[in-house]
Amino acid sequence: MPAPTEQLAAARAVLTQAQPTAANDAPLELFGAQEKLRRAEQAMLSGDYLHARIFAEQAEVDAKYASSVAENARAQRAVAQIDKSIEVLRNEVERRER
Amino acid sequence: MSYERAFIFMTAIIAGILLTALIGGCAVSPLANQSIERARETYRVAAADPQVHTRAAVELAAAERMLAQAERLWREGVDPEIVAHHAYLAEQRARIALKTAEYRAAEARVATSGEARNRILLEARERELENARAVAREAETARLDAEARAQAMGEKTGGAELGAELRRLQAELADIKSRQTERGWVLTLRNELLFDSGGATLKPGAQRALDKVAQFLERTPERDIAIEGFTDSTGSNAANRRLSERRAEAVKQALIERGVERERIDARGYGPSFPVASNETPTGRQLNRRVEIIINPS
Repeated sequence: MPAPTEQLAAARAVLTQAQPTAANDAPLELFGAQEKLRRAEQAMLSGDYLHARIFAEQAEVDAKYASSVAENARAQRAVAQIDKSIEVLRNEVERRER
Repeated sequence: MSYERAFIFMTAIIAGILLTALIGGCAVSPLANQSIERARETYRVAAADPQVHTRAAVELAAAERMLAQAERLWREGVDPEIVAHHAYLAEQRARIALKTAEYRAAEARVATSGEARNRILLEARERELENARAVAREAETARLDAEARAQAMGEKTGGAELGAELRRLQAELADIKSRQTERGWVLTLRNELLFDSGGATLKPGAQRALDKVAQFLERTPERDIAIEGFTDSTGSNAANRRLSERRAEAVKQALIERGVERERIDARGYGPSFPVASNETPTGRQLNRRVEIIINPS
């Protein structure tokens, strides 16, 4: 089995990308992904390429999931803000009409 | 660090420890078929959501591909650890598809919030317009009511036809004003049209107006007529009263000459009494200097 260098690089890249948003909005998911990357790196060092690859691939998909969780949290906040501002507008319009 | 953040951080650490315990050693998942079951179930949930099809089609397709691969590996009897690994990847892809659809739906709502805002404003404008239309309708109803009342009053005091005739007469003679009162229709002729200042002799210019009035009176032979002269308040009361009497009499004579029966006509002078406008201004005084022809209700 060849060394999963590409898989590790991909996992690191996706984790780096997820970091800024997921650190605040998906800390649990991000932590899990980081943990798996650490495992992958350990396995790589010990020459266990199978587990290095398994953990790297899972770290990558977990980081992607963390990103989507963070994106969702951000979008839901924006929706809540919009709903609030629309509510304010609606009240304002109703107040003007009375 | 806030309490909430600290809590999340602690939870993350505990989860990390549990996760480490779980994935420690060599077993990623206890049983391959259990992992496959979970992946199938998560994929089923994602595929059943129409939002996922419209907003996260690529992500859903990736999940489907991963699941198919995991199933294939399982059927081929590949090492359960490898099967469980691919099932896990498929499951995570399905979860990503679900989350992606969810956040994209939210983003779409944010993007169209301008429309929602405009819709509220548009609806408010429409309500405003509808209110304005209701006010206009009320005004129109009030106007129609007033017209109906005027018509009823016209019928009581002299009939709608007489009103129409008077309006025609008024249209022909700009100097004659007609109005409907409780006493009947009143034609007002300004003195300037009929007499020179201080005199009671009809001016040549008055002839045409009196022709028209006589013609009109001939068409209503059943009605008695009162001719009333008025002056402004300039000068002595007694002199004004005499002048207004002579002027009313002159109009009476002119109408008799034009064929109106003498018995129908009553002429009086009231001098400055019953002003219709203020005597303090030239315009007011001009309005007060007048002869009124009252066509009594029959």
